[in-house]
Order: sequence, then C-alpha cells, then structure tokens
Amino acid sequence: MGKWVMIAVAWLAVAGGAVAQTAQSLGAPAGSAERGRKLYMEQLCHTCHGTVGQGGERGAGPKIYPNPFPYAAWVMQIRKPRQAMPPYTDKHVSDQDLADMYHYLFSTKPSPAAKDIPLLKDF
Amino acid sequence: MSKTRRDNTEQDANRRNFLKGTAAAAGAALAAVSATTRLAQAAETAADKPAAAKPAAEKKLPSETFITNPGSDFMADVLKTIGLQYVAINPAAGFRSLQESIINYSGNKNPEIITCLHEETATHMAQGYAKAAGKPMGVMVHGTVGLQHASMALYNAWVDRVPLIMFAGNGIDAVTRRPGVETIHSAQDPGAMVREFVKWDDQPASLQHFAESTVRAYRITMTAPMEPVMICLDMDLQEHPVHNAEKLRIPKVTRLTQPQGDSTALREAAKLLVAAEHPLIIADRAVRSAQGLKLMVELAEALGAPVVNNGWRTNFPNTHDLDVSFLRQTMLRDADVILLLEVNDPWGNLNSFSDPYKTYRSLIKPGAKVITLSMQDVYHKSNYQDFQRFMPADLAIGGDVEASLPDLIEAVNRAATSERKAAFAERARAVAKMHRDMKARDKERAALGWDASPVSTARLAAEMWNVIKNEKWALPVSDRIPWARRLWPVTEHYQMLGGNGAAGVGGYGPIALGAALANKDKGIMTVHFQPDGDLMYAPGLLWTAAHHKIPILMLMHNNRCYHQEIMHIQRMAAIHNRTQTTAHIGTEITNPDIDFAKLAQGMGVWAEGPISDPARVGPALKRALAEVKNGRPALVDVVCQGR
Repeated sequence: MGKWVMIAVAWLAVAGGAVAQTAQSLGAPAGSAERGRKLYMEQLCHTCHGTVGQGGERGAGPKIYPNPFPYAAWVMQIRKPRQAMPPYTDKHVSDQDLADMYHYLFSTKPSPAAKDIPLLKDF
Repeated sequence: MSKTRRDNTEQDANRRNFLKGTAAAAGAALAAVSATTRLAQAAETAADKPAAAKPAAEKKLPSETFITNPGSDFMADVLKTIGLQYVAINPAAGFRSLQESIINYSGNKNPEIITCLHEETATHMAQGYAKAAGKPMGVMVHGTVGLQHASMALYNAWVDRVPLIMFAGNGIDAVTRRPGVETIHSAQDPGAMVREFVKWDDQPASLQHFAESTVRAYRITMTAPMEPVMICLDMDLQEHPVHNAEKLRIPKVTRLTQPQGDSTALREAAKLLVAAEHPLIIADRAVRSAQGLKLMVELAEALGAPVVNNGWRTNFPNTHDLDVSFLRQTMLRDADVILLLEVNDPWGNLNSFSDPYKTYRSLIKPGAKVITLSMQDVYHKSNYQDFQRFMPADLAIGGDVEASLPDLIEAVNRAATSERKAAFAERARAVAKMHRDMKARDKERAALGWDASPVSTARLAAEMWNVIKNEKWALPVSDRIPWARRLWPVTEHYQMLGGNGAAGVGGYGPIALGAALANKDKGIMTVHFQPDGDLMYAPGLLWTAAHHKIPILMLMHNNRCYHQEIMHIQRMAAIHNRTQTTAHIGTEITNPDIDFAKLAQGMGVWAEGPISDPARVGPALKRALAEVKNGRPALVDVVCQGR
C-alpha cells in the first residue's frame, strides 16, 4: 500500500467521524499554536489558504481546515507539493515550524455550519 | 509668410456668400438631412453680415470674423445620427471645437459629455457602458498623449470584444497647427499606436469623409466580433467653417446582419451533439441579449447537456439544473463531445497548466470531439497574443453564436429521435443532481471563515446579496469575487458581464461605473466589488461618479496588496529555494494603509470604512444602499481576506 493511500485511509477514518479530530489524533507531534499562528502569517500561508485555513478563490489555494490532511500528508504537501503550491524546504521552514502551524489551525475558532447562518439561507 | 487659420476663415467666408444664394434651394432638397440644413442656415447669418456693414476698404481684424458654422457642428450632427447617448472625455485642445459644438450647438445632449479625470477612465467607462447598454458610447481623447493614456483601456475593451467609438484629436497640417505643444501632440498616423487592437480606424480628410467613416465605424464596431474602432478628428476640419453644406450628407445608419455559421456545419455539429453520450457546452462571450440567453437555455435543454459558463458574460442562468459552471474539470473528464461557444482560449479550457513548473496535461479523454463556434477564428491580428495557444478542433465553425444558435437548435431537434430524447432526459436528471450537489457544497464552503477578520470574500458576497436581493440588480464586473457567481441567483443576461478583458489593472472601477451609467437609464441598481489596487490607478472615477450622480454601490475588496503578485513572488522564491517571508515587499499596499472612505468622501462620494469586523458590513451596506437609491454613488471600505 502506497504512502498516499495509507494517509488517505487514515484521513477518511478521521473525517468520517470515527476519531475525534485533534492535531495529535492526526499524527502531529507536540507544538505551539501561538507560535504557529505567527509563522502561518509570516510565511504568507494565508495569502492562498486564508487566515483560518478556509481557502481562497481565483487561483489561490484550497481550504486546509477544518478536516485537514493527516499530519504526514500535510508535511508531504508542504515539502514536495502537488499542483501549483510552492514548496517550503527545511532551509526556511523547520519540522517544528510545520508542527506549530498545524496546531495553529486546530486552535482557530470553528466556523458555524451553513444551516445556522441566516444569510446563507437565501442560497 | 504662412497662411494662418484666420486667413483661411476669410476665404471660407467668401465661399459662404455663395452658399447664401444656394442654401434656400438646397434646403428643400435636403430636408431629411437636418445637419446640412442647419449648417446652410448658419452660413447665411455668418461673417458676411458684419462685413457688409463696413466700408470695403477697411481691413477687418481677425477678431471681427466669426465662424458660426464650424465643421465640428456637422460632426456633432453625425454623432447624434449614430445614436451616441454619451461621450466620455478628458478635455483637451485636440477636440476643443467638437466639444464646444456638443455643448452649445447640440445642447450637451445626444451625446451628453461625461467628464473623466483620465483617458483610461473614459475608455473603460465606455467599455462597461457598451456591455450593459448593448450599444457603443463615444470617447474623445487628445492627440498622442491622450490616446497613449487611453490605449491600455482600449486593449482591455478589444480583448473583451466590446463595441466603442474612440475619437482622437489631431492636427494634420503642419502650417495651421500651433507650434509647440499642439505640434508635439500631433501625429502623422495616430492610429498606428493602437491599430493592432482596434478593428478599424480612419483619419478623415473632409467632413463628408468624416460622416461616412463614422457611420461605417458604427457598423463595424456593432458587428461581431464587436471591437473598438477609432476616428481621428483633424483640428482644421473641426474648426474651419463648412463651405459646402449643400453637398454634405450623413449616410443612413444601418446595421450589418450578424454573421451566422454555415448551415451545413451547424447540422454536422448537431449530429455529433445528438449522438454524444456526454456532451458538454462551454461558453465565454456567447450571450449579449435576453434572446441569446433564451437560446442558450433552449440548446442545453434540447440536448439535456450540461453547461459551463466561464463567466465572461451571463451565458446561462446559474439557477438552471444544467448549470455546472464550477465543475469544468469534472465534466471534461467524461465528455465525448465538447461545444465551445465564443471561447477565447480553447486550449486553456481543455488542458491544465501548472505554474511555475510549466507542465501541462490534457483534461479531455482521447477521442473526444471538439466543436468550436466563434468569430475568433475569422478575426486575427498578429502582434498581441490574445488568440491564445492553437487548439485544433474536429469541427471549427466561424460565426456569431447568437446568430447561429437558432439553426443549431433546429438541427438538434430534427436529428434527435425519441430514443435519444429519452436518453437526454435521463442525462438531464443526472446533471441536475450534480448541479444541486455543487450548490450545496458551495454553501458549506461559504460558511468557512464566516466570522474571520479580515472579512472572508464569501461573507462579502453574502452581505452584499442581503441588501440587494429585492432590487433589480446588476454586478457588471463579476469576476472579482466569484462567490457572487456561485451564490447569487443569476437569471438575466445583464446581471453579470465578466471582467475587464485583458486583465489590465485599473479598469474594474470605471467599467462598473460605465455600466452603472447605462443601468441608471434602465432602472437597474449597479453593485460592484472594487479591488483596492485597481482603484488607485485612477481614483478620479469617484469624482466622475459623484459629479454625474451615477448610482453605484461600491464595496471595497480591500486586501491591502496586489494579491496575485504576492503569490507570484512566493512561487519565484520557492522555485529559487529562498524564503517566502519577503514576498510582501513591493506587493503590499500598507504602511500607511489607504483610507478609501476618506478618499471617496474627498471626491464627493458617500463612504464608510475601513471595516474589519464582519458584523459591521451589513449595516454599513444598508446605509450605503439608501444613498444609492437616492441616485448617488456610495462606497463601503471593507478590509478583506486576500481571496
């Protein structure tokens, strides 16, 4: 079984609700959400993925939170990205930086569900 | 000694003595041509009367000779005849006589002058006006420097396939034009600068030539592919008196029928589409009228075929079950026959291209048939590359989509057997499910980052919709916040009209304003998401909006940067294995942050902001809407997420 397939199986298990989502449950090492927020902004991750990981439009990046990749896939996508995302090598972003940024996403305030937003009921 | 313009005037005044005798007889014969009649009458009362009151031997001073029938009066009549309602200008000597004629001879009506603070603004306004009004607006620019200012906007309009008529002042005669600046601003061939991105241009050498060329220009610009045209305004032609009024004629204004695709080819296309298991229709700039939109629905329903509207016009209602506009790649994967309707970049639609790695792959399966119906293949210029990478098609039909659709639909209906129609119905049900799922996913995604600050673009779109949902609305620049295209119900052809054409920054604001001018006359409320960087190219459009009382609700998408360029620098830094933390240098618009509300207020526009709290956006928009309903522009500045 390839690495991506194993990651996908793990992600589906978590995303499907079998396991409560935390950074640790998705395989992340310990990290600092506060430091991660600072890094997320400094590294300009928000330009494509939004300040809370919601994603962007018109050639920007997809949403990365909630339901993020498992940590192993997160690291792989940042180090050796698929599609147009620029790579972040360990020369500029350390392994601990990656973990901290992952923890930051889990610290963001959850968005309300669409069904609970009156303005979205029109659509 | 060289003759001056005044010397010429005296000679022309003598010619008018001849006209005095012939004008009455000529007037009856030319009753249908009001311009010539009025000019002939003007000739009767012109400079010969003061001359008659003086002794023959007394030499007149130049200031005693009046030109009461300048050529520019005739030109103004020509503009009226082709139905120009507005002409956008930044004032300049190159067309001073025509401007004065429009004001005092025509009473500033048909066309009415719209004062702009930059030629680029004037031209972009005409671009937006044409898309909303379905007819061209005039633009008058100064020789050389004015045209240079206007040229980027002209390119935007050209790529956007928009009709407009540019008039550029020029002094051809080196003897009569003023030395110094006026000569610096004159050119031997003004059209050379923009000829690669106008469909036709001319430099008329006589008033009759001007009339014929302007009527021709109107016909050319209104024939698909609709593109800008340009007429040079020679200063002498404008400023010298008319001396042959009885001979001047303004040709009848007629429209050319739009070119229709070959019927045999359309039947062949219909056969392929009817036989297809997974046909797909993709459209860029196919629709320009309510009838066009109706025909697109007829075609899709006749085939039960999904439609991807790329969004450069309202090519298909996004409320329709067959709309799958945001599923292009998914639909292409299975498609066996793909119909591209006035698609500017067929290759780019059917292939993916990875930047910065420059790799690409086909998005369609081997053997899929591609049909193009477009005027692009019959209209090419060489220099500017808007014709995109070459894409071979299995069946390439040259023709205007709206003109060709009736025959194509008829051919589809004839070719479809009852068995095929049953298959179409089944396919339509499957597509409808995809449409509903797409909409549901969009709604869920819109909720993400709902309370974020800076404000999310989905929230921006939802807040705007909440205040205009009960209005007859239009979002003429509809490519900036795609959430509006995803979420708002779009059912009318005028509601969403795409972008600026060539992605030349600085056009979004004035294009929206030009559309608002057209919509004002139709009772349609214009709303606009205004990018911050774009506005700063020519913020004077705010003054034009206030001065002319053009109702438009502008909501700033203020992300305080040139966002696309930040992403470019990130990509370059990454591929060079350097830090990306510096990508904001040269791309951010901060320190100081621009206060767009103050900027707008300083030009007479009601404004609020900057707003960073998403909960404050809705109430501010409601206050702004009240201002717009009173016939004035309003701006709300919101600090937003990048995209």
